[in-house]
Amino acid sequence: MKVITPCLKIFIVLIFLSIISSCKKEATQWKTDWSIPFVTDTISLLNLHNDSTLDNFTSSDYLVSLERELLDISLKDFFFIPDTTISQTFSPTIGIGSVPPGFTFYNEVEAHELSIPNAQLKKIIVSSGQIDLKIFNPIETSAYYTIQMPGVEKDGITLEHTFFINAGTTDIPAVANEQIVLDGYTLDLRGEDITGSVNISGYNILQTSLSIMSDPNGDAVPISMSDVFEVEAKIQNLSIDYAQGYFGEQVFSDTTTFDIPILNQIISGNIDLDEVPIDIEITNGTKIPFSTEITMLENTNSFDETVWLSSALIGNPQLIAPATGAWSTLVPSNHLIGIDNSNSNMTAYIENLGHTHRLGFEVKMNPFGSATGSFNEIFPNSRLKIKLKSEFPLGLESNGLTIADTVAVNLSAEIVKDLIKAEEATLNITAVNSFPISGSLSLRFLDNAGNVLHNISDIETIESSLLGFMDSEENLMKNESVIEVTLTNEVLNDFELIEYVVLVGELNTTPGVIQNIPSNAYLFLRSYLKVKTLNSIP
Amino acid sequence: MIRILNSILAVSISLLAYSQSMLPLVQDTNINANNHEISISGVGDYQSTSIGKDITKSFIYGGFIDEAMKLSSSNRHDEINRFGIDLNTEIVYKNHKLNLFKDSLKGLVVKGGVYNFSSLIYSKDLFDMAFYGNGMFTGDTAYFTGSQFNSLAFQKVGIGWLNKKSKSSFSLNFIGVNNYLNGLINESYLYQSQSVDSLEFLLSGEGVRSKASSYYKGFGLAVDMDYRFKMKKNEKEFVHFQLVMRNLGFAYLFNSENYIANGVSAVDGYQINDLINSESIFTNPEEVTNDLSDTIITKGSLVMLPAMFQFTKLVDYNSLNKFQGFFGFRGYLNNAYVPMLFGGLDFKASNWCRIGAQASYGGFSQLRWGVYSSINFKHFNLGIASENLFSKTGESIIIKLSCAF
Repeated sequence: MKVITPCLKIFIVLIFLSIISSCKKEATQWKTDWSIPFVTDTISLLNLHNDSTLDNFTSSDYLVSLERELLDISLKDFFFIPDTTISQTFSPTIGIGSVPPGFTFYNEVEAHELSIPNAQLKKIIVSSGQIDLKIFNPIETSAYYTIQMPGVEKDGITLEHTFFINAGTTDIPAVANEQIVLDGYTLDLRGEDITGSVNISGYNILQTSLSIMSDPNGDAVPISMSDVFEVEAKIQNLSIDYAQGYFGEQVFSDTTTFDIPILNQIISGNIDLDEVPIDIEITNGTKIPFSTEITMLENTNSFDETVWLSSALIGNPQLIAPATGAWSTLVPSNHLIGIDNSNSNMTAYIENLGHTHRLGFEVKMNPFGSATGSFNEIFPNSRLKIKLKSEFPLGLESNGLTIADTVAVNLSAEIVKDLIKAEEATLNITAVNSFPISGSLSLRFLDNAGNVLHNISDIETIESSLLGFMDSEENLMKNESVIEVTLTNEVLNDFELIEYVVLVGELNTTPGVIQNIPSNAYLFLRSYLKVKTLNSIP
Repeated sequence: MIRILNSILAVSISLLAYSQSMLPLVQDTNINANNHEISISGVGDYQSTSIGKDITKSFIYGGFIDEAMKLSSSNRHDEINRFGIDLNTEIVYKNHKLNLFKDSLKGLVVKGGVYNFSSLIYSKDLFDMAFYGNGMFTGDTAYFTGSQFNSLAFQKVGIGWLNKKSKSSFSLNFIGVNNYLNGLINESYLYQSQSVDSLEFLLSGEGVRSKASSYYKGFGLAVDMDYRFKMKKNEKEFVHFQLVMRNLGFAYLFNSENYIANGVSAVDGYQINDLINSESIFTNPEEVTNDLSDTIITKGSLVMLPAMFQFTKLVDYNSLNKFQGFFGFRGYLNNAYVPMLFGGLDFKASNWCRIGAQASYGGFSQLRWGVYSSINFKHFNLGIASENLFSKTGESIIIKLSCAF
């Protein structure tokens, strides 16, 4: 025991020192440099080529060839024939007594008025639709019901259907359900006058004729005044190919809003443009006279400044003639309202760089009332269209036009928590620019309250293609720029506080010259991040 | 200076908890006068073909690894490089009084130990990637093929018998595994285009990691054998040899995660729309994992322990010669460890003090120089040694304390 005790004492002292020593260990740290691909992309106007917006074929420079449809209405938009139920009933007013077999005891024509809002139809051709019939027989022998619709014809034959119905009773009439398909039928909706001739001033009238014959092979049965013979006809899902009549003084009006969001991000600067003409084309494929009025055209820019297009053509109704011909020979009438610098403040309107445009218009049918009589006609291919068109060279002069966009971010300099932390990051961008516009970028880093924590503005410019060289293969002037955006340690240390990044881009062209944009121009960007990291192992 | 002393003390103390046969191994041909013998030994040894010890020490003690440290290590690297750490401590109790199996020459041996053996084979590109990043591989390909890592921490308790005269011994040990990690990269590279607009990372490899949440991740069995024999040198003297096998066995891990990766992940530049529609500017790590087709299977695994083999010509404690030579070789069941040859000279300064020097070649590094000293008293012996004194790529310290009573 005397020998072991000193050994233990030594161990205890050494273990104590070891614990103290191990507590003092600091983290192991070293720095590394990493390169990470970032953005490789080409920015061009290619996505506008097939959108009736840009023409890159006609000349070496882009042409704006804008075409937007503001209104396109067809026959079904002028009026709507609702589902309609008509009923024809017969009860003997005097006692007939007994009905022998094969005896026709009722044969009458009735006129029914169709409820068609805003229209007085004289003739329609049905493309599809049907009549659902419900027939009631109160006598104790079966019977033949024949329904005829005078004026409803197909291939010159009047619509007529005969239905067999079983015997019923006064209290519980027999019921039969039948369906008549109206596809292709022509409906003369003028009705008859008291002489039985066509009422040329009539409209929206549908006639039915019902005759009832007892079964020739049945028994003689009694009939009384309490017996009700009834046919219910439900006209459903009527779709029309052609309509003639007077469609009233219907008015179609609207205010269309279209936005150009990027223009809402302009914070300073301006552009100069050459003349920008706008044509409003009205095409009338109906045989109805119209009047069209552009009630207003205005835009509002990012500074909340609104410019109205001022022209004698605004607020002044334009008469649109009816189409000519019929069916396959139908020729729509066209009317063009041209707005340019000669009759408006168009250039000032465009240079306001409005992000929200509002166009108001009003289209009025039969502006002279019913003076045209009953000869409004609409064919299957009849359409009323209003289009906005514009064609001009895409060119501009940009004077410090500055666009800003604020992006919400969630940043952290710690790439791997507690182990790898970014100390400095540099975005290396190689840009090939074939636009005759130079661009410079600056970044602002904001905290949650919108305070600017850091501002990086000393970033080199992506130079205009005009300062570069001619690429004969692509027939484009090009200029290559290499720029670096460095996020210093100070910026990275504040990453946890940064809630928003404001990207500010300034565009400039050669002063005093409207620069046309070459067809197929693009901006190619290739970039990578260089990140210096501090790696720590506790 | 205080820090160096403190560091040496810290290592020494921590190594008191570890042990290995220190060089030179001494043969005491006397029959033990004392009935009981306890020895505690500890080893702390890290070696590398290429990584400077300044870097390794930064990982052990903390500190900043500067560019000069990285550059000197990087310049030292070949295509294939090795690094290893051997930390262990052993306590052995020998009872010379007991006669096991009714044999007066068979005494009792009881031992315990804690071991941590880690090794790494790796390419120069892997070192450069870890310490410089991929910035230096622009327009180039970094290859990691053939790199592998192995680390095993375990404890053992054993019982056996010894030959009181020859000092040969045998023990059967029960093993408890604390941690296991193994990885092999069959094929891997990182290609980076000149314009840094694309990266391509291929990884084909496999790995195993012990998973159980308990302190012991698995159990096993191993044997230790210390066989000593002598050959006649002349009429009066013998030459003594020792063959040691330690921790020859295996362990079974109850739950281990087996990883298989076999895929290519390509990182191209984003398009602007990607940025507008993305919440993060960096690739989702889960996406990369999926691209690499990682498969994780949890199952039991059987692992071999890093057994040590050593053959030595021993120093005779009772020899009258002032100088004695010793030599031998050492090996481990480990891919990264190259069999190490060693040789040295022992000087008997006095009856209670011996000093010596040695050279070795192999192991996890190449040529190493070492010295040792031991102080012998009646009832205890204290030895301090280093097998690696002047190397720029490793350090070694061994402490052994024996008490007899």
